[in-house]
Amino acid sequence: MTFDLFLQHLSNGISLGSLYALIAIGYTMVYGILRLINFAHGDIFMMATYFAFFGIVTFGIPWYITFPVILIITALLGMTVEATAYRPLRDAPKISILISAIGASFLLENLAIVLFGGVPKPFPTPEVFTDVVKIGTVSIQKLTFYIPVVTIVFLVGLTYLINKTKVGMAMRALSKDHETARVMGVNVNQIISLTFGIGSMLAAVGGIMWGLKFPQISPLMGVIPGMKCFIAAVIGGIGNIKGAVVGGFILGVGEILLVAFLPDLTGYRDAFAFVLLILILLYKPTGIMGEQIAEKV
Amino acid sequence: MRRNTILTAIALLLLIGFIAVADNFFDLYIVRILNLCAIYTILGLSMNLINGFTGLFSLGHAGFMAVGAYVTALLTIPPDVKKQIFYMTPIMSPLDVMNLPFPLALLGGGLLTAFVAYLIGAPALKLKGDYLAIATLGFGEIIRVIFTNTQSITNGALGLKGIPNTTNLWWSFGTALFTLVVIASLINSSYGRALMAIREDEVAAESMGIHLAKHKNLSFIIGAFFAGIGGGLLGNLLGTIDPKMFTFTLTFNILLIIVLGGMGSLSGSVISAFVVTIANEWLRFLDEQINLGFVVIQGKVGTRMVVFSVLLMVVVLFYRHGLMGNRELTWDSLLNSKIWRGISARWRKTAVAEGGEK
Amino acid sequence: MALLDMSQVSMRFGGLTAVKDFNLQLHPGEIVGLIGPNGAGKTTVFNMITGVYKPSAGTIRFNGNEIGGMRPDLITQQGIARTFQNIRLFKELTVLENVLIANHLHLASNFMEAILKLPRYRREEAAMREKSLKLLERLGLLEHQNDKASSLPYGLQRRLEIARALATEPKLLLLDEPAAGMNPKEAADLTVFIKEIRDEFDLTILLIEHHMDVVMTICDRIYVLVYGTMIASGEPAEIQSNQQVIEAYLGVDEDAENQ
Repeated sequence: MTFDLFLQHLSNGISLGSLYALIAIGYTMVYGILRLINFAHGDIFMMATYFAFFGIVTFGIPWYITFPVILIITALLGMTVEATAYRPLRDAPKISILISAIGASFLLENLAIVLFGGVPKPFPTPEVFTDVVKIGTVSIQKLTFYIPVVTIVFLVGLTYLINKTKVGMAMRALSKDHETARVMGVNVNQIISLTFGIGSMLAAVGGIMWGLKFPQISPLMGVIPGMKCFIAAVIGGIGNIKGAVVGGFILGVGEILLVAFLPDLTGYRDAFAFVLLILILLYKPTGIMGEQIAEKV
Repeated sequence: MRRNTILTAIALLLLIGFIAVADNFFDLYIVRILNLCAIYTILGLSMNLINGFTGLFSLGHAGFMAVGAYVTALLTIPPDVKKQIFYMTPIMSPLDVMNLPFPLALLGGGLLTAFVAYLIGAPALKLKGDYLAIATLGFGEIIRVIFTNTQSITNGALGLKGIPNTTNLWWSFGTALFTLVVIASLINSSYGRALMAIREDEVAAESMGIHLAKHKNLSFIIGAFFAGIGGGLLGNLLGTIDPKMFTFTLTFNILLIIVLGGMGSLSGSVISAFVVTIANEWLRFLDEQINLGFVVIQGKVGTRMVVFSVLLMVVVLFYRHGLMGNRELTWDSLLNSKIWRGISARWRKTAVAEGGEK
Repeated sequence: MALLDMSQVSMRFGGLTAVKDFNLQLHPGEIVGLIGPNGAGKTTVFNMITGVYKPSAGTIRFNGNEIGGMRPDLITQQGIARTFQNIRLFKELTVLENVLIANHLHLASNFMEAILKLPRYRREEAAMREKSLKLLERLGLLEHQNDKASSLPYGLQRRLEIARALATEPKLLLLDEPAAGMNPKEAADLTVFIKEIRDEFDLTILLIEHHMDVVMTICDRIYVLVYGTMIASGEPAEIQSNQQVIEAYLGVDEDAENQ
């Protein structure tokens, strides 16, 4: 393999990794606070791409207006899912909440099939993103550079929110102990709702860029990325935002390089993440950056 | 005790009579639905053993079924048919000539599935809660990916066609009954109590001397065995299988059955398997065109699953314990139920009244 | 020879040392108390003895066998049983089932024999039931045998936990705050009860307790743990007059010290 080709694969891997990272953050934020997989997260990501599709294609709204609006709509969708599928079960056994989450995920997928049709739709790709840049002999889409940059911008914003604002402090408090946080005056439901909102918004950012990179959207497009990003979050150490980013990059780059170096295994690409998950859980269940939580006996 | 044995015998005879009648006189569509009901009973019972009784949130059922279905199909398709199906890549030997009678093939499917579960269980069952859920879900996906790529064994994405339609009502209901008896007997034994103890509290169970890994594996393997057999019955009922059949949606349907019936209730799973399977057929119109004679309503693909997802959520949100919770339908509970008491009281009254007239 | 011998045992969680260089000997038939303020590491000691935690350092010998870090169920099999501070019954199961489950470790029949209900299994099951019912009768729980464990009043739930532990046929019984939430009268009854079961079931007992009346009446010896370190051990009278223990419990009055 030539160095140029390697560079091309690597840049692909990095932009895929950025997308994984953005979606993985949503899982890790919700898990940090509720100790729960938000099964519907991948489907919220899918819905965001459809919202963008309808904004641009159906209503003809320019992309620079559509995209920001989509972020807000998707955040609201995430908050709605939380209010209907999760909030009523706050004190229920974990297994019930998981089942409700699976129900919500299926509901979104099948609603999408009914409302938007099962046939994949082409995602609108403004030229600003698809222009090609040539570096030596390597030609790379501008988008490939934009994706990591956008990811970093949102990451910085999120880090600021979590570490420097009151809301962020409330989130951190909740992730340690709900009861104490409540006693200290944190509005638990409001903060959880906000967490879902922010996570969903990041999923929307990921979704839009995903659509630009792989311009074909379908109702089940969120399933596999959803699972992979949860895995990325686990690899990085669930509950830890930096970990989610690291995990996203490891998975994204690893996947692309696996296919590049071992083309025979291309068919097994989607299995790679799960194998990695099982290995991580067995040998370092807290992930790369996660903290040890001992069960109280 | 005596009364219950007699009642059971009567019920069994009625069931046999029903199957004999259905097998000979019912139309094929109804027979097919009945077969599906029985197969989903097997699947529901086996998943309930793992999830409802042992408290392991496993979502790998579709994967188990895939293994069972492929093994059974490969062992029952006649060699010359296999040659035709595998036109892209020839089937590897000795699978090309292997051929077994249906019951042996079914058993082989179950045993191999159990073996696969044993291999997965060793690492996966160390995980808890949603980690186990995602790992088993992942396993189901891995199986599908493997089956799509091992062309010379599974025929890849093309799937298997020409599977002999050996599944009939005798096989499906017979196996369902067998599954019920075996799992009920396990649950009502010291091993079953150990499994439920693990569900209730792992730490306490372990400190009561219960070997967690051994018992979790036991439940997982027995559950997988019956899931494999259920898969085998399904494949040989439908006649064709391919990797796309065994997606998470299939697991979702079984999950709906055990949640609706009550996690931890065998009779609940049986009732719910029939309800869900029949509803699945009955609601088919939602996905298709409805012709009311004077007006044609265009159904939309996916509507049925929307209904099912809403149903699952409603059950979990508002009726968490499902139809039966962790209670069981027994002769005693039936005869003590209000409905039955009402009926028998009225009976007695009329009997007394008639007696008085004489 | 000591029945249980813990030597230089430490437990660290990340940077936090919960128990440091802990030593403890239990002799057959003794009732020994483990006391100390909240968060002193008492339950951690129990968790190390029962295998829930693997000690970071040191040895734990039971009957001469090293059991430190052994799987909890194997330790129970060797003859150590426990109750939990925050009652951990099998809530949805009946009282009888709770006790039957604790018999499972003695079952010789395999699962096939159990499913097929073969003669050996039937015999074992019948014996197990008889034994459990006898135990429930002895502990005054017989009338509740078919009640859900979670439906029992609090005091009886604690009692059921002890019944369940006894059903495993232990030589050493660990009781984690058995008198928690009891009034003085109930606590007094409990002390009698603990002595009775010690004699009847031929037990050695190690208990964590905050009710000083209970501890001082029934314990032959007492260990005092503060911030993971043992600061004193000895007979109740010695402990009661130990200056360090009094300080640890009452806190040091700094003004008084300066004077």
